[in-house]
Amino acid sequence: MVVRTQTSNLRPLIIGIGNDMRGDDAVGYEVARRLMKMASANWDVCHAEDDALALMEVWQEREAVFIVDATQAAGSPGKIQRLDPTIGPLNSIMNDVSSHGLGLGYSLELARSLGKMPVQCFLFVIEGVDFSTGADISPEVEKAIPKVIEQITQEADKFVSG
Amino acid sequence: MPTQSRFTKKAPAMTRREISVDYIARVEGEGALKVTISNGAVENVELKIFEPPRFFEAFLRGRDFREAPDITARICGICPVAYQMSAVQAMEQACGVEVPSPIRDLRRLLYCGEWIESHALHIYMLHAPDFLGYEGAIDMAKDMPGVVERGLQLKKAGNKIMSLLGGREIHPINVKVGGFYKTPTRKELEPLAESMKWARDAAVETVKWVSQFDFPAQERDYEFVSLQGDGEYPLGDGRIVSNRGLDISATEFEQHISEDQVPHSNALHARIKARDSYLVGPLARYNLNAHQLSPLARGVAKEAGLTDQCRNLAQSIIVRSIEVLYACDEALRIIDQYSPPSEPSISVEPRAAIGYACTEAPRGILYHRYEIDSEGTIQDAVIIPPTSQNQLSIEQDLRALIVEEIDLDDETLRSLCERTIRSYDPCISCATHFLKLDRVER
Repeated sequence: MVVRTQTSNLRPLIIGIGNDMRGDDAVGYEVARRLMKMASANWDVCHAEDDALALMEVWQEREAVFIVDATQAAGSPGKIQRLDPTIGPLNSIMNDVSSHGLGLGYSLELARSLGKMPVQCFLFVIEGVDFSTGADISPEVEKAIPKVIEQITQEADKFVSG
Repeated sequence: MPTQSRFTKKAPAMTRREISVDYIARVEGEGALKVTISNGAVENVELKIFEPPRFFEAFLRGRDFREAPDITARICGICPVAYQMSAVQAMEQACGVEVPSPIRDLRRLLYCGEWIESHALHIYMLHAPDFLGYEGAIDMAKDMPGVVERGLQLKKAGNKIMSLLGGREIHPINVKVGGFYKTPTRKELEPLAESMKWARDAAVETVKWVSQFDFPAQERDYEFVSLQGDGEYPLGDGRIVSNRGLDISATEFEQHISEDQVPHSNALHARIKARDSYLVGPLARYNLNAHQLSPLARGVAKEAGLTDQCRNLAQSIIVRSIEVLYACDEALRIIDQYSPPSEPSISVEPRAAIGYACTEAPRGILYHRYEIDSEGTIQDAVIIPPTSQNQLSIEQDLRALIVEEIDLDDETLRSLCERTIRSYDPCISCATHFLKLDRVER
């Protein structure tokens, strides 16, 4: 599901991906939710749940897209990585499918094949630790949320002013 | 296009082979396949399926009966409407009410949107690459971008219905016990008609496209189980019937179908008590209801070479395409005949009772049973999704496949197992792209 707070084809778009009923998988959703409250004129925000495929319709009109998502546990919960998917495939980092829809990695690669990749795209992934159904966001991941918000908004603001 | 008969690689001599499918997804531990071949014979086929409904059954207890459609919609991002439809109808049955026909029609229209969206996703993104020799839709898109674009647009056409009627594309929020929170005007439905006319043409092209694929000549004598409506292809209601004489209401579901625990999976294996495994989904619906398709869908099916009976699971991709066409046709019929209800919903007062419902999710029948008290608080909930009903049949198909192709090398056999699983369009179909192969010498 995609919810746009504003519509503009020029402003950078920040997309938070996540399911708020699956523990740390909700981190992208939570980032988007907090950014929506900030209501900046410099960027737009939306969030997506299961099916990232639908995002192609949204991001293809944007010059710059910032995406926030969770990654699987790898021993460093809350660790933030900034990736540039326009350089090459992300399959080793992002699973390209989930059991309930096509995931971000898959959607990005499909967009690349179809020539629908955003010109500038930055992916912020936060390592999760608990993806149990019904779980809350873990404390480690919760601590990462304000950091990633600060990082993204600074970059998005610069994109506009720059 | 490769077919099974063309695989010539042979397995090296060994006493014991183990083929494992480890599910790697955003959320760990959702499903896996383990096949053990010992001394040239299939020793074991175990399909593990993660079942979110089990958590939701517990989560629903103690909640208000009106919350069931919104809570259960969260079980699956691909078929939330199915969960909502089964939930609201079970609650309405418990409360002794029946919605008027305009509301029933709108629910049917919403269901059409979900079928189009879900089937288009599976046909184009997951299943077709198997027949064309591609690793997946990403590679396929490089060679045939126009075809993949058509699939994406078809999926989007289904999403549009879900957005308009459901309030949003995924996890619709406009459905309630007794009807909808808001119903559209005729004018609001008009853009959908335009979109559906394009989608109907695209669906015809889809049937033509997939019917040209090379299908392995393999049939199995399934017991097909689906709903059967009165003069219409089944979507949201009807009796539960089979080609072996099953003919029951949703109320009788658990009298005739059992769920057994198996050691290797947290999912339950459903089986017909009097017999054994059964098949739900497009192939079952088609075999039991082809005569109720729209004239256009029947005609296109005939042109595609399908009779009213199809026992080849691989050809489910054709049947799915025909169901997309039917859903477009049916959506247009409903939009054309639509007259808004006087109220978006009817009043539903709770009473102490048990309600049952079964509807046709894209993957097959989805059964819900709820017990509520006089205040409307849910005391008990049972949800049996189509994938767990098909699980035993999937394992049996895999076993038959492996017995037939036991001399193939592990990699080829693994690929064939993946294809078989994907033919079912289970909720774990995506996961089968990630296979790991381990050889174990006994």
